[in-house]
Amino acid sequence: MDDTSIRASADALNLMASDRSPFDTNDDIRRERKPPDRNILDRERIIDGLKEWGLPIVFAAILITFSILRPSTFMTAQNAINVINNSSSLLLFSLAATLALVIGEFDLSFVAVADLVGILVGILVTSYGWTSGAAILCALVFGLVCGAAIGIVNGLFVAKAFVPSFVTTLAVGSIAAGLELALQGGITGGMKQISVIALPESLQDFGASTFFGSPIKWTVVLVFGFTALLWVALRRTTPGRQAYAVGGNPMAAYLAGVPVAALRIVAFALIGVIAALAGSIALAERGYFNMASPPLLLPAYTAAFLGAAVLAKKKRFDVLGSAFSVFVLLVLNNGLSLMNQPRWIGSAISGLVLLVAVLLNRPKNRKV
Amino acid sequence: MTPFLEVRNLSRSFGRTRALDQVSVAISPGAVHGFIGPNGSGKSTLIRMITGLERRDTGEIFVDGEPQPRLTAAGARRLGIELVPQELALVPLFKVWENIVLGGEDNAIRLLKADARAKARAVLDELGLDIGVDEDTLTLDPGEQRLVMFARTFHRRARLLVVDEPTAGLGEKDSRTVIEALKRLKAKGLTMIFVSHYLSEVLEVCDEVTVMRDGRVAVRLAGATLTLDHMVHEMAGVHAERAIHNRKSAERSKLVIEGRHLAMPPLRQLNLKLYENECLGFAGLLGSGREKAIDVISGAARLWGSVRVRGEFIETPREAVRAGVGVLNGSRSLSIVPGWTVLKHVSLPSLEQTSRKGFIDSRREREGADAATRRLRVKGTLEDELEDLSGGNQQRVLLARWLMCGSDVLLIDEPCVGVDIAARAELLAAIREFASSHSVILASSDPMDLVECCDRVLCLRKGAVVKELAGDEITEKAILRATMTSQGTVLEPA
Repeated sequence: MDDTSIRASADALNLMASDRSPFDTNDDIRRERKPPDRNILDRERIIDGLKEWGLPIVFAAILITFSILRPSTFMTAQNAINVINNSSSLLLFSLAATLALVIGEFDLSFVAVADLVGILVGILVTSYGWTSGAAILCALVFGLVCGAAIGIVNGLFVAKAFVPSFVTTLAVGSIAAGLELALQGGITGGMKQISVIALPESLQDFGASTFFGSPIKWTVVLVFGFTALLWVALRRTTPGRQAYAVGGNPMAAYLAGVPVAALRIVAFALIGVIAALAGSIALAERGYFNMASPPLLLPAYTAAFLGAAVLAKKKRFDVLGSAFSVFVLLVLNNGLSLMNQPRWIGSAISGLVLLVAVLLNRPKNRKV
Repeated sequence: MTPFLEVRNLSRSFGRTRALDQVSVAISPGAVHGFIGPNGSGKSTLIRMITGLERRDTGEIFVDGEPQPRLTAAGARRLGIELVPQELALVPLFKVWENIVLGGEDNAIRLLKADARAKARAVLDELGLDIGVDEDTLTLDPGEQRLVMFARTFHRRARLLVVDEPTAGLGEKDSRTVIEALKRLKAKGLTMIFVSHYLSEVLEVCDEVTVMRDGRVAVRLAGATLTLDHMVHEMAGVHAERAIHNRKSAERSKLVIEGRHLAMPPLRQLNLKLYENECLGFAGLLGSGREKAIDVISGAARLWGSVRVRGEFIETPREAVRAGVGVLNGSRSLSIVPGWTVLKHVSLPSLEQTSRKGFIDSRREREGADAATRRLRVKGTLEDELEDLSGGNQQRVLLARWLMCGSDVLLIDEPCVGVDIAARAELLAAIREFASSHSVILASSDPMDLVECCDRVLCLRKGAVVKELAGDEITEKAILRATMTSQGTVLEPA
């Protein structure tokens, strides 16, 4: 075939392509969907509305209920400030859980890592006498680096050795818990705890000082800022979008040229940093106790799933959704404790709310 | 003599497609009956009905002359009809004997170990198989694992063995082991139905062959008419000589991709060169290595070998994308992120190019995606979820992402799976258009995809290239001959 005929055939191809009638404008390939029903009591409409506004409705219901039951103590500015000022740990943990879920993995280690970093920093600033301002800063940075390093270990196992993250982080979490126990030997006076008063004053101030005259703690403002930063990173940046792709379908992301392994490692490192931050802040706010943090692993994941299931319309894990859910859970527990109810009731109710939420959003047309 | 199995006027529709249309077949005792036909010709629907796995719309099934109005899987098994499925259905951590007696235990509650072992031993001896009953299933060759599945059906006293693609995915040696075993079973007088794409094997084992096409029986071959040539001719059917594409005899000046010694089981060795403005095709059955061709080139799965794109080595899909190579996969599970919109799918590979300092520039993202989807005439908006679109549209969206990315080489695997006929024509036209100014590698199990698009086709069989077709040699018949018949009997294309 000579040159001209090649061109001729290429032209023929182009002609074929352009002469082909483009798609009929009125033939709609979208699957038919039920047109929206105007009837406000339509069942599907109610369910759709519940899915979209379920969590705010639950939140409002909780507020109203407790306001009626405990009018003098619940709906007060002081109580609201209490709830907010006690939110930093769970909020940070829920960010860690959300980040893990966004990339389609689990991290069971972050609570143990937080405790480990908490006691590490605590020992440095008490037993080892890192009491000057610069030394405290060094201790805090050292804590963050340790958290990141543990996170990178998690990430390497998951991204490079392809060990399921559930198993990896379970193992790493156990090791961290063990190290924490070992470090307890380093606390001065053979104690099993470091009380806030034992900490250097500047660290105490960091944990107790409030934000420019408002009653909100500095640490909480810091955590809020971090939350906003993470939200922007996940929703507005390239690596954030890619992280969602990895969580949605890792193979599809890989074939589209997304650096899957690097993203996984970075995400786990970031989770480690968040855990370290949580540990340090808890130390500054409350000191270190033998039974270090309250059991926050499950509530952290509850908040993440609740936020994904109910708040975000698209059922994706989202930082703001998780943060909002954290406050729903905290307010619920706060109200119940004002009513002198035992702790288990709060846990049971948040579990029930989660079950209902995921039931509303269950996948359709599944057989197996 | 009453046929052991007779089916009359069986029909079955799935939605609007008629999978099986008035099919009648009779199989006499002791005969080995082959079913061949292209993908989607109704072979598997038919054997699923015979084994009670699929209900029929209309038609009758007789076993031993008895009508079977309601044949269930358990019912078929009671009648001695046993299926040896295409996929291995063995428990890998079981011993061989445990796998043989599985599902055919004498006692529903207590497993009598000594008894069961002895029975498994007897079955293996009867079949003349050299496999120990206490071996671990995991350590057996792939061919031997198939044989364990035969032994299992034999243990259940099968009277009709339905064997579906027993050598798919097996190498030459393992295939031989299986075929020899089938011939031994045949010598024992067992009635069998044999479904295979490898025509030489069909010829070797079967007494008679039914060729199926578009859900109907195209022809029945037996005795003197049962030859390779006839089978190929009948399978290709009406559109055999349809040559659509004006092929370019590529001026082989600019080398775009060079692959050397590529391997990823079952692909044993592949060397390839892709030139500019060329569409290179890969043909082959499942298990020929064709299904790995795109993966080894993109680097998604590669055991051995090297690929250079304009001199640059690429090891991973990421490096490929950066070198201007896009990958389009027909399998939705490998390409769709659940819940994502068209926009996000299109922009994913180009995000790093269009973002500013890592932040997504929504305006540029939207403009780029809009231009690319318009060029490929994607229906629907950028906000639609990709999962909700039709198959052909999904493929065009996934093609559009590489236009947006500015790729000039495309690696395409099975583009038309789950795409209806009209959309298929559009999609292939889009691929041809792309290939007219860029380069494309296209792997497909459907020879017609290759006939309509490619300038050059490499035919794979059992993990290696057996034939290269170029220009007007590329016809459906030539591809079927090269991929389905054994190397010794490859016929020169007409």
